[in-house]
Amino acid sequence: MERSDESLMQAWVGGDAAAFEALYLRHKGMLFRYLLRSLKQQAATEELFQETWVRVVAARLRWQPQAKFSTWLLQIAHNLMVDHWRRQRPAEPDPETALAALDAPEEDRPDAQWSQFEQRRRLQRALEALPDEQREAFLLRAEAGLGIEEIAEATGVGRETAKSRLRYAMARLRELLTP
Amino acid sequence: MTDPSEIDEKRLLEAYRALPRPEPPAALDAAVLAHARAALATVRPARSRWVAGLASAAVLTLAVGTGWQMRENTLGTAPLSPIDSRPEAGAEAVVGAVAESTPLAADAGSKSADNSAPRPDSRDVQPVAAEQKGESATRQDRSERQRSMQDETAGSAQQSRQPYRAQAPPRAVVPAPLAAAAPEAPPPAPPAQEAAAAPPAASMLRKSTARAVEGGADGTQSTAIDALAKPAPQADSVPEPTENEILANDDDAGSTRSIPQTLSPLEWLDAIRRMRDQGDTRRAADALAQFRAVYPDEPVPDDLKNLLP
Repeated sequence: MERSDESLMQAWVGGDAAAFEALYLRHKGMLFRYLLRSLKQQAATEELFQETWVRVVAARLRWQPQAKFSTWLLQIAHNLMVDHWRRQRPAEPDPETALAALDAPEEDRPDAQWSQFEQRRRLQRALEALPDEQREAFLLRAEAGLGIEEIAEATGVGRETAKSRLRYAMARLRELLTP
Repeated sequence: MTDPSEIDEKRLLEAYRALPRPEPPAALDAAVLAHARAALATVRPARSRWVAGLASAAVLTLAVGTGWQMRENTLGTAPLSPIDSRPEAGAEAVVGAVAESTPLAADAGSKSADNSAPRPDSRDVQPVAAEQKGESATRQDRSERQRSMQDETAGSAQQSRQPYRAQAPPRAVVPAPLAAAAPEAPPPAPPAQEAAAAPPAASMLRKSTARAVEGGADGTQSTAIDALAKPAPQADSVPEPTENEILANDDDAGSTRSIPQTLSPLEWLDAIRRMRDQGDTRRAADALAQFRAVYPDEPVPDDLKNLLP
């Protein structure tokens, strides 16, 4: 039976290094993609990814078992991204760089799957076009599987605000993906 | 019926999950995991510091406790001869004094000189000396009577006391403050003027309290009784005289003050017997009269009834 995130977190706080490795392997991909698709910059993503885990390590003793680990992790990442956006707002990301990072390896793209590849590329562009708050709400929903309440908690907004952001994001993506 | 918006959301989520799923680089994984391990490693020294602090506190507590115990032990041994300071312990002190031989009693003088703490025998010079100063006039009147008594009691008893007096503690053992407080104190009575007394009685007198001696200063029995009836605090305020001073006062008081009233009845009667056996029947009779005044309910032994008037 797979141990829960909270159990692993408690074990790690108690000195079990292997518990942290399990937690990291379980959440590293989700966190990395959430940051990459939000920041759209590989270097900034790696920087904030590492900084997020550093914050987790530093704040482990303050973590409460009642809190869901994934929500807590994404909340830390969100706060770091907000700070990053405040510093980097004038500079727009390079779309080609972000898309290159999001592209799948070339060997996974046979010619027969060209239409599917084109569909994913359109989705990526649609995500890039979303406002930051709506894109973040969608990523938290699609990547981390968070509900409305958890999205609101991770982003530090009210439930209705989170619900509205998610609804607008879905509507905008549908419009952009509709031929 | 399914909501079209839910269908659209499911399709969107499926399309998103079909996107490439990039992972962090291996170097980034290694850096994060190394940082986490280092953080756990730094916790252990913190625990070591906590243990070290606890150990330091334990050592400090042990040191303070040991010091406190040593202090208590020092305080417990500080008072010398506490039994002498208790008025009700006078008889017990005399019992202990009777067991001592004269040479041993003489050694007390040299011991007191070596002891830094003031002994009751040496610290009580000043009050007695002051008393002697106040009574200097009456002392001169009594001197002739004392000389006549000495003539009567001279003999073997006088000779037996001489070695004891030669080893009596000197006045030099008096603590400086007390000695300075009584600069006009007259020197002790010369041995030639001292009344004769049996060596055992002298040994008893050495340990007796000064209250009985002072109580009988005027030679009357009523004063002696009053002295015996003094409350306990009087024992603290009235210091115990030295051996020489007791004997000197004994000389001043005359024959009726040869035995302190703080003796137990049996000890008192034994002292009277010794006087009688040494031929000093007059003093023995006076002492017996004094005894009857102090202990009116005590029966007079048959062997001493011939001393009754």
